[in-house]
Amino acid sequence: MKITEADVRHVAGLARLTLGEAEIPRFIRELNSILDHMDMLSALDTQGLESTVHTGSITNSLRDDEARISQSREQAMANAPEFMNGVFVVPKVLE
Amino acid sequence: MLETARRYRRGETTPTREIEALLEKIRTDDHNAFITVNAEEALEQAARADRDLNEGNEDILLGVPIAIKDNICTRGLPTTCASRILSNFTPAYDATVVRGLRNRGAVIIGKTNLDEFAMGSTTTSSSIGPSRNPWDRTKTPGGSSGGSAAAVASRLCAGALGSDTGGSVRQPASFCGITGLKPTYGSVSRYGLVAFASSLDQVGPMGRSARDVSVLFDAIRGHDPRDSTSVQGTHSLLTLDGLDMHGIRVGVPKAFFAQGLSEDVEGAVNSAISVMRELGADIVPVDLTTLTYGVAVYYIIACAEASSNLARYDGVRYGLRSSDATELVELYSRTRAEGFNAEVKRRIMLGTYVLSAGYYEAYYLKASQVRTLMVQDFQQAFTRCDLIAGPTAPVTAFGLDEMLDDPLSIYLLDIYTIPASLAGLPAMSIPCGFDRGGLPIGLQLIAPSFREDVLLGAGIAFQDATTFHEVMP
Repeated sequence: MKITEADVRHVAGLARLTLGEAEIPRFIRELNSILDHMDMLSALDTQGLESTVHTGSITNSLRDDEARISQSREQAMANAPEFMNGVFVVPKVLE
Repeated sequence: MLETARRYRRGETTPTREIEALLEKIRTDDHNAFITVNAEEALEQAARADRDLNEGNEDILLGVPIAIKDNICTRGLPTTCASRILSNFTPAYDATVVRGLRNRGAVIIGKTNLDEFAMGSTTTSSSIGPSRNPWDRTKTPGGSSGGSAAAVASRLCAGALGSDTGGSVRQPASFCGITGLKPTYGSVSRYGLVAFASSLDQVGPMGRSARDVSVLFDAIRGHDPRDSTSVQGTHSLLTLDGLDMHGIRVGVPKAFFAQGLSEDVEGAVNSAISVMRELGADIVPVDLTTLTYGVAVYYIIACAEASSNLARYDGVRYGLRSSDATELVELYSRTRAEGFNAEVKRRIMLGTYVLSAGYYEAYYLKASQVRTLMVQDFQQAFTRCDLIAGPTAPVTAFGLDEMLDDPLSIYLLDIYTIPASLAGLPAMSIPCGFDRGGLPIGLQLIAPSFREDVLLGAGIAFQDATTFHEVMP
């Protein structure tokens, strides 16, 4: 088995996901089953092969560095769960 | 769409009367195709279309009702991605594709259901529950653009936009008996399409016929300065004429007819290939031996990109915020735990794992190298043919109560749509028959990059010779 309980807890921490206790055995089972399938790739020799990270054009796309009208502060804040004095409010970060 | 436009020009109906009738039909409809119905604004847009029509505006899209998948941003209209985490999100802007449709006078009739964040192939993983297949309400419409497909098939709109990352336009089109196009990567702007896997996502048109899809594609494609991956330069010339199939080489990969393909689907796809031969096409065998690796490569790359893209949902700037958290990291983690359903969490976990220290080389890097082999495989195949034909999906729509518990067996059903996605190629599903239970079957056609003209032209030629797309549920 590739993925252990410790792995699931570690990855959930990296992904910022609080897991319920019932979710842990399910993730162990499902992720192992999916990764077993993915291991078929290890049979292929890919030594020295370029990776494909996109299939788009390879030219860089730049625009002129000019100020443009974008969203107003009110629009940007309109969907915020909590804001005050023009800033997003979050719980305390440092004690 | 063309039919609706014709009825307006013949004076058989008006945009306002058409939209009023559709809104009434949607109110009593039970396919669960829509998340949000845009009733008030649609009637305003229709009234404007009435006036423009009287003033002689000839635009085919004028007053034509289009449904939009709910992962495409619409100004002032909720865009939820069928997720609890965005259940209260209303964009301040239109996606470029939506703006394009509005500028042409199209009416945005509503926002359609999907698998949460477009992750899935059944439209069951939605915060509002599953959509239903118009051919049989006990079956899935496919997914993730299942709401758009069901809305088109049950005539709740004239056409729709979906999005396709690994088959999410083509597979529901196949299951619902409509036509759906996944354009070449970069031909349609992704600005305002909520990101799932950015190297694969494309907005795609869905309609009753290849001609309708062609009109819709022409309206949404083109360079957008707001999406640096949208290509500049000339695009292929689209016409509404069928392609003369004489001398067109249609490649048929043996790998597309492998184990797991249903007998009925195989039979219908083979008959469709015979139709193309009768229309003058040369049928040639081609190799696509890397096909078997597609599902593994796709789920590594798509989940890796998703885990990164979905990091933005943290309860700070928009969307759901957990009320239980007392410090910041807890706020992120609880918000995400409460806001995402099981499938999205699974993909975030998988994507985070394959990118994490110690596993990156074995999974993400390996998959992106095998992706190169798949791109090369297509390049090789297209030296021998102009189009590739095969099934869109190995099966027809299955029962909502037959849903497999094992996520891998669901993923494996994406086998035929994934390769074109990984290679960035345009691909289309068109109706080509029915199984013994009367459920639609889709033929998939794949073309070289930016040859949507060939793809759509062949689809139009096929539909001029067949009637599968005209059969109504």
